[in-house]
Amino acid sequence: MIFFTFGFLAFFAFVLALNWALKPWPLAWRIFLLAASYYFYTVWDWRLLVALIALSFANYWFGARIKKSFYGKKKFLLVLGVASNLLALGYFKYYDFFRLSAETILQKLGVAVNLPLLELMVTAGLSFYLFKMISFLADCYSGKIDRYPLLVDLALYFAFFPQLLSGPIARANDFLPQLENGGAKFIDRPYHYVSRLMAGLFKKLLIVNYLAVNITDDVFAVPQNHGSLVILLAVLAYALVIYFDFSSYTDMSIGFAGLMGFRSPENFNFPYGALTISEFWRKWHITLSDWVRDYIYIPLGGNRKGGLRRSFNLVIAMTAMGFWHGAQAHYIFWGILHGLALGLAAYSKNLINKIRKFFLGRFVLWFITFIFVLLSWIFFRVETVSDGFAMVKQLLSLQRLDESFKLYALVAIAVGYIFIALEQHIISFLAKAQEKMPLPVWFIFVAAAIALLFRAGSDTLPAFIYFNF
Amino acid sequence: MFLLFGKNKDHKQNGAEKKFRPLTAVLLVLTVVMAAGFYNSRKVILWETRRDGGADRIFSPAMVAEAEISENLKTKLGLDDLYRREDLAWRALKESPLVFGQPEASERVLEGDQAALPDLTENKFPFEAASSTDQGESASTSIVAEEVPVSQTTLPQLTDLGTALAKKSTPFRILIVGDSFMAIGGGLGDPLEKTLLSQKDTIVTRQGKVSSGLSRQNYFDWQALIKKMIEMHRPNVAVMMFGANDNGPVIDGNGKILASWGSVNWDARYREHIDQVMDLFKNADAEIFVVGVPIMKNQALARDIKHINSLFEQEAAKYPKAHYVSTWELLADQNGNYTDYILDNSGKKRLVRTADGVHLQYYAGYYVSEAIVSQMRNYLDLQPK
Repeated sequence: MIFFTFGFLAFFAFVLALNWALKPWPLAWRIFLLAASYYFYTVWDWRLLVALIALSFANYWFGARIKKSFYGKKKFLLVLGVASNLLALGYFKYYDFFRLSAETILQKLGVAVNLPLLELMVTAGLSFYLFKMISFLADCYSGKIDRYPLLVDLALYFAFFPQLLSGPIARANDFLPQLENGGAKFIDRPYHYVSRLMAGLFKKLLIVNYLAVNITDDVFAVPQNHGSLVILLAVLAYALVIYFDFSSYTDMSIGFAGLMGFRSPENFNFPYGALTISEFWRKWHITLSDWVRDYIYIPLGGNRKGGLRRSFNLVIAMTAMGFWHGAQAHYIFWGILHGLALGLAAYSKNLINKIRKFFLGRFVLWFITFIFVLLSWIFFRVETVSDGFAMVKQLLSLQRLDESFKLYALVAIAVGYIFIALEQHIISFLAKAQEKMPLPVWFIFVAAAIALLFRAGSDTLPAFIYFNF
Repeated sequence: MFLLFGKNKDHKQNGAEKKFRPLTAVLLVLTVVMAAGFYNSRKVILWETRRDGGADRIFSPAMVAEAEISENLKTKLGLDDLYRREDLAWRALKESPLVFGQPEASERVLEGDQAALPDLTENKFPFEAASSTDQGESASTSIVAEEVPVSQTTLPQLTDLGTALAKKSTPFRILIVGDSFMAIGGGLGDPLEKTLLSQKDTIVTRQGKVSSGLSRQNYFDWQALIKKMIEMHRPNVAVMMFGANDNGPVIDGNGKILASWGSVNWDARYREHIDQVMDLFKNADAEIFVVGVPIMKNQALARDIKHINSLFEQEAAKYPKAHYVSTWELLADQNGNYTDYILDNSGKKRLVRTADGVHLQYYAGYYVSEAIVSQMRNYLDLQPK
């Protein structure tokens, strides 16, 4: 099920009612939420549910053993547990990449081998819950898990449906306490959560679809047909598309979870306003960035082993991030680019701190960061690295500047960036305005607004970009 | 249960939002579901019944049932006309150049060919502007150039215009139309466009629409759009691919069901829709390439598609300048069954289908594109650049 479909809305209404009705019986409530999450997931492919349940059992076992063990055995169990999760990720998500690579290498060595094929299946959500599993084991190892959870609680943490398909990647220490004693008794920020739902629907159904269909998809599909200016517009629009697509999912995830009484971590904080690339990664896909920092960068040594090693660690961590998005060279290249930029920014930290003291300096820093992020999105979106370079070359060639483009594209892009800049204020204003409404007026307002958003949106059902990752 | 039905408490604190009892949230969400479902009843039916994946067996059918009740209720309340007008207003808004741009968004004019497309907005006769680029063009194409009357000063009607324009030999003005296979992400549209653009003297315009087909004119009126696109782009070559979403009722532009899927007159009604499109291209004197839909993973869907493909093939045979290009066996295994993998030139098995068992990976897109272009070369002098 996808968040903004009508079927999901009906599912959510059912789950929401029982979620609150069952709270006086905490165990039944948690079992119900787990069953609802499993139902939500099995709609995609029942085999995925089998994998999720099996991995939940395995991680419950590994976590318990890691927590009880000491020294070498503890480390051995951690390595084994993490390796099992990575093996599952590799099998379901990267098998075909590894199969083709192995066959090619063996062919070059003169051994013609056809390795077994894997029947294709949708792997939506897999890498997100595997991140939760790996972080849980690492937290057990480092002693961050005080009380070992019940199996049902841990399974619910892995499978909680608002966060299952595309995050945010909540930490066990944040989520599990919310299950204690029947969880929240009231909805703490109802108007905020409803506003987030409306903002998510607005971004996904109207902005993303419009920009993708009318501007970006077409230019990125056959960029050789377009001049520098139109390519620049498409790249600017794509930066909006990827932000709105993913942040709309996060908005809805936070909104749905919030109405059920759960707090979720934020994933975005005005990333295109970042002054440096390291600041960008503290504002973009925050839960994944934090995960990569805590479970890849810091275990590699982080910044504790000198400047050169730090830069190397950053490149490795970001390459892993790129590979996570897909086993294609262009994702890996995108990750390396960001790793190198982060390394360079780390080296130039003192200089950057001096520059950012001045207004003009801050502007220059922002501009450099934004241009870098924009150019790197090209490599994220194209099919091959060479396509990316060809597009960058065409963009920088300043050729065919007279190619006509629709004025509405420029207006749409400008509106998109203004919306991003004001987004948090808009959501806050919307929440405050709703709070002042009498209950019947508020009901009519929300129902009419959401019904209209569906009506004004695309006639076809768009998918989320991050379901692929 | 007291949490759901208990007394409301005002937990408002300094700066914090007013908290409310969960029942309010439940009632709010139920109101939203009912209102959004009622107002968007047709979209509910479309989205919840024709999805590639992710539809469940309890809540999606429940919403469809609510949508069907809503539709009946609207009819009983005499709201049909109001909704029809409202629907037209939304369509006009969505198709407005000020809102969503013009349908020629994917127009391609290659470098050096800028003058190839005459300006139709100033009531010029098309060839007045285009004639200069005709000079020096290769005459080796199979679409034969003929004399064109130049005395007209007003924009001719579609039929005259198409006939006259198609007499140009090159560049090949290729119009690609189709469902999600031809849209971005379907896996065939952009590889085919790129492959055709890698040939000499080609201008390619592509228009794909997800979930569309020729059976449901009320959802997407391809006949009307193709007519517009012929006026705008004056194609002398057309590539069309439909059918993957058409195993349902044949519905006209007013929403009237002409034939249910599986009924005795379904074929006849669907053939009429195919012919309407073919006639548009025929009147434009375009060389028509009708691309069949590849084999599907779902066996029931594959059976339906095979039947629909056969109708396209039979209709194409009725038009002298129409050619059916089958892709079914291209993506089938040696036994003619569905496969996710095919062998590449080096003997390695390459993934060709997406997880939905319908759409194509880009490798397959280029593979099928090459096969289509290869067949096009039998009728057009397409030369690689």
